Amino acid sequence: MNNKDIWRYCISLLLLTQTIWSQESPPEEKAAAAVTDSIAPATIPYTLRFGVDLYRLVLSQASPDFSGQELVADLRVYNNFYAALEIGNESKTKQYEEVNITAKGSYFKLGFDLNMYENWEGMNNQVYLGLRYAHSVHQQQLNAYTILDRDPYWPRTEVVNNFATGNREGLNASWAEVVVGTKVQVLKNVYLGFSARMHVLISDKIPENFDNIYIPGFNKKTTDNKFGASFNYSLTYSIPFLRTAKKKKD
Amino acid sequence: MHPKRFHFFTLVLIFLLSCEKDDICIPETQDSPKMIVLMRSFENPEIRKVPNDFKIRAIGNETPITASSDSIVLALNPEKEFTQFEFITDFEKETENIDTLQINYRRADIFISSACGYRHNFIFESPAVTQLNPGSDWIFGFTVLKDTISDEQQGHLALLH
Repeated sequence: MNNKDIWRYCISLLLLTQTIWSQESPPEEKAAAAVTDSIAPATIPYTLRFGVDLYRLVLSQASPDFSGQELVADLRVYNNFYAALEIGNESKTKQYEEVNITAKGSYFKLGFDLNMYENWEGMNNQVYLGLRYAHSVHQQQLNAYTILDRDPYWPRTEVVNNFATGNREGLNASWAEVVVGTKVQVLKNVYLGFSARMHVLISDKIPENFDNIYIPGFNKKTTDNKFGASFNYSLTYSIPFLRTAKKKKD
Repeated sequence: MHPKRFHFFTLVLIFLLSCEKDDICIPETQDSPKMIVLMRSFENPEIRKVPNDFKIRAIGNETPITASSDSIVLALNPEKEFTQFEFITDFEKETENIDTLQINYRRADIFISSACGYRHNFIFESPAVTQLNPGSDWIFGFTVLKDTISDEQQGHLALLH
């Protein structure tokens, strides 16, 4: 574990305690809602929420090897059903075992979220499950690598900017995601969210004499070439832009 | 979904996400191949022929090379486009004869995995072998058996003497 991981834990724990706090609600509110129930049935606004991923924003400043951003948006279309979209780009340089790479690209993730959490009256928090289809367009640059030679006769050197190094452009990848997340209302129109995702790779265009070691949006491709994981912390602002109010005439 | 169960599940997920798995290069993975040279009779290249009191030295490297049978494993220098070897017959005898041969090739690095890196492949140039000290040769010719050295499954070069 390094310092970055410790920070992730602390911030995640803080967010979770936020969720617990938000569940507190004075019992009088619930009673008042029951009394006024017969007069005005629920209005269901279409609500658009958009914002940014704070984790990537902070990491871009904190790390010289990473720059990127992710915009998140969701649209409440019906009851607990939200259409969701994330768009981002990343540029990441990292040493992965025997290869040093820089991966750059953009991605989008499109899907829906289902809120599983029963809100008390007047609150709007979410604990949701979601699905996404995601696609990235990216490039992989091999900066340096080592040679596998168990019984070297001649002196071994690491290869930098020679032979197989170089940029492979025009790559892409598609995958599906299962999302588990929470969005907590911190101010009237402001939400803090955390989501964790499991990815399953559908297809990818593999570069010549190399591989998609890191895919923006998917993270590192593992040896079984199929699964990946990621998360985000989002700060979003909501706009209700269309109200379909059903009012009973007395 | 019950909030407490969800929080536990999320904590487990956070833990899993924070650990980046490191792939391992398993020992069975094929590494960079060496060149396999077969010593054959010049009169009849199908016949194996081990030279008398045979010894091989690489120029530029003191590490001894085993040359006990008709099939020899020689490591090509990946940092250069040629490697020079002294092929010696009747070693330390009066009739000792040294042929200095230069093997000419191109290097290509082939991807294995992020855990293993790359391995060398060598592609023979034309001509694959040049005699550096012509005159009273004991090796009269050569045949390229496989023009790309990508594994050690078979002989790549036959030297005819």
